[in-house]
Amino acid sequence: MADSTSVVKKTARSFPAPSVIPGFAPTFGLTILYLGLIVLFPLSLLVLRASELGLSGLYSVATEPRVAAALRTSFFISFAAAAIDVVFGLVVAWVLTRYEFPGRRFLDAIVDLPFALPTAVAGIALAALYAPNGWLGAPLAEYDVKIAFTRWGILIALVFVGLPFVVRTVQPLLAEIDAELEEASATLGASRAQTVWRVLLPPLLPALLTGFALAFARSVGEYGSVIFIAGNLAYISEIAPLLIIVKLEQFDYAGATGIATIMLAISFAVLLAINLIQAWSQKRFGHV
Amino acid sequence: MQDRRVGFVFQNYALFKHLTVAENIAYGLTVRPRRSRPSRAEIVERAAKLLEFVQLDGLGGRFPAQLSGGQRQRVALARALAIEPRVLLLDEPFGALDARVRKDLRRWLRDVHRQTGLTTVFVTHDQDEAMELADRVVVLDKGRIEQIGTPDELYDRPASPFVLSFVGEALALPVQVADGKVIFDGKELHVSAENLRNGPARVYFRPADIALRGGGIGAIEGRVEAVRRTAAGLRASISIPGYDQTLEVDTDDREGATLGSSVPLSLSNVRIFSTAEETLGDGAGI
Amino acid sequence: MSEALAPAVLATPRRVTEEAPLTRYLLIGVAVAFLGLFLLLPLAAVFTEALGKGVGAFFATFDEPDAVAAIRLTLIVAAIVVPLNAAFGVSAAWAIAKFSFPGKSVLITLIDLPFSVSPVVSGLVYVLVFGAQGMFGPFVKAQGIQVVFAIPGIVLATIFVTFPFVARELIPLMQEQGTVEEEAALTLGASGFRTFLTVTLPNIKWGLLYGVLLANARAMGEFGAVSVVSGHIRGLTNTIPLQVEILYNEYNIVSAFALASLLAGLALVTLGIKTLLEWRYAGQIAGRRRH
Repeated sequence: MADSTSVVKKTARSFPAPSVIPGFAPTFGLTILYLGLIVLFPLSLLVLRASELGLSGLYSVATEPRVAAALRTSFFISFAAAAIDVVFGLVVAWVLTRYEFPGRRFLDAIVDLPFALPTAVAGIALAALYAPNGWLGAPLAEYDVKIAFTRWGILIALVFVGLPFVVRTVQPLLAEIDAELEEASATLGASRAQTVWRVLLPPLLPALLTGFALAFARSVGEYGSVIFIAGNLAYISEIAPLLIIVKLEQFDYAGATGIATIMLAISFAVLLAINLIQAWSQKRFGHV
Repeated sequence: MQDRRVGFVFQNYALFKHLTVAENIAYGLTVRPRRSRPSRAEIVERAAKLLEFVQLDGLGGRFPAQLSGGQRQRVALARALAIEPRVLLLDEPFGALDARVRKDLRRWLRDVHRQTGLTTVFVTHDQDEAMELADRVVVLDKGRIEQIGTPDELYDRPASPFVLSFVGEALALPVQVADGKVIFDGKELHVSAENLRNGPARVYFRPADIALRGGGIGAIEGRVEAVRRTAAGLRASISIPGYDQTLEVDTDDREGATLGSSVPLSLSNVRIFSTAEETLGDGAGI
Repeated sequence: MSEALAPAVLATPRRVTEEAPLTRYLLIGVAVAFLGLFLLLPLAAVFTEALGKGVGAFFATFDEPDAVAAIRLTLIVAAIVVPLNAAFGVSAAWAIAKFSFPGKSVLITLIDLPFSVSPVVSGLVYVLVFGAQGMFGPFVKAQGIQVVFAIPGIVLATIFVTFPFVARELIPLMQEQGTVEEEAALTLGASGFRTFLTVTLPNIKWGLLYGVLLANARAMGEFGAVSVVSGHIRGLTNTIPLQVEILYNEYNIVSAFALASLLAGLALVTLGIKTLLEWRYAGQIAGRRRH
């Protein structure tokens, strides 16, 4: 008894746990050093600068009408885009995972395009498509529908950016669904629609929420694919990341820092939300 | 399929992980079309009754992940019973459980069957399970029905070597059939082989039906290769010329079973089947 | 009973685990239309606009000194950033996957952090460190080094945004593989580094390639972070995406899309190799959830 406790104490104290594998000190040291220099130090400097502003300073930055408008625009349109991505991402993931049809593999690969295509390229392509003389903009203009250089343009760009997050989060779960569950539901008298709605979709909820959160987080911070199509009218179609750049160009470092801090806080809140969703899902379904 | 009112129970339970135990049981009722759907209160009551019936009262609010394997299988059964099936189909329901839980559930399932009186189809690979639970057993081999009968019939009058070795341990002695006579090692055995065609065949017998004495189907001599003491008496290893396996025979005859001696072997309750094509031939032993 | 049961199982018109054909076609139609509208059409637009005024105009873009400079700068940045992050990724994965120590999950979360930060914020933090009003701004200026509005700033910002790619690919992979093979090699007398080269590396090479591929695509295409730190100096601090922006804003549409098509081509090649790796070496890649 006394022996075993002393062993436990010993392992708890040694860092790392004893191992015959060499190379912990240099690799761990390099990791911490690189992480500290590249990521942690600059980010903490941002937080430090923000703390110099103080809560009241941050508040006055956030409530400055142009900033407040940009934050609102970023927040609500990102929310709407993530919601659209959840609906269509689910359909896309469902179709790609459960149906066999020509071109399926190609479409499956192309889902990752928004990850791989540089944002500026996506931005000018979308702008060109939806501009009044573009492939889609011209026919829409006949019905007096304007997409490019309006908030609708921002929405389109953010839907593009967020889609793969939803699809790739839901897909593995869809692939793992046990066919026995569907059979069980059918033998109990459920129609196909009831089986889908009440047996297949509810377990996907945590993944859909996670996908939504990821798409939302990415959308709030997105810059390149939005600015070309947004028109960037102050108070109307100006997004928060763009305003950071505007503030920098005006040498308003405090303003830029304030907006950046608010956006960082949103990112962390979303990260926290994702972790909570997964903890909840783990507890309730016994899987993530 | 739902119209036929068949209650299915799956090997891996197939419980809905996102629903509570009570919601799982009530599922079949809640998906009914509004016209035939019982009221909410009635559904709750039915689920509670079924929970009690499968001895899980009080666990209705749990999720399947919080139950043991045996408990999950009982929920699965309650869920299948909730739709008031006319036939219950259990597809290897105990396959994923450990041996001890299987035994308990087997006993319990028999009680359930007695109480509900439902016609139940029980699919299993475990012959003990089949023999213990079933009134009628259908033995399938590679998708073909080998025999349909009561457990007694299967045991006493197996229709094929497959059934014979399926329902219990069996040994086989290679013999020749010639004009209704059964020849082993040049000597005729007292086994009737009227329906068997000439050619190679096998005489099947169970380990318990070997004795160290004359009689039986006769004409088999063995040699005592080893003798060991057991709690009740002796166990002798006997080799038979022309047969590649050693037989283990329990005896209390110390004199007869001396090492190296020749002993007469009696086989009883034998069945004989032709080897060429496994046609059934009724060979009755003595 | 058997008569009632058998037909029910064998002669069901359609499997109970499938939707009606009409529903199926409808869903496939919606998915294909959505992907077509949101992914394929923009992609097609890039190449169409690039070739809008003919092949000559397309290639003329690449004779422009500014375009050549942008391509060169992009290649230089990627050549610095990708090996650095690959080395870091391998090293971090070794420390995290092959050893157990307290605080591991916190470390993994911190490594993932740059994925959750807006690219613009990623650029901004370096301005706060090295800019004229930054913490080390006066110091580096005194040394005669320019970081912000120069190549070092672009490199730093690009390292930041591509920081997690290799590490997050290798960590789960190496955790899954455990330490048994390394221990065997060590007991046979191999040195630590030799063990890594001959035992670990062959096991993770496809995962490493996968991570490097994604990091490279992002490094060459990064726009927001680089935009903040570059200062947009033509021929000096413009990477391809920044040059695309300038050309587009000057209404030099063909040149903008010609340069963009270069990056779009890179994206397609990346996706192609990525798909190939996922298809061929699925077991030797950690998976493709989240980027």
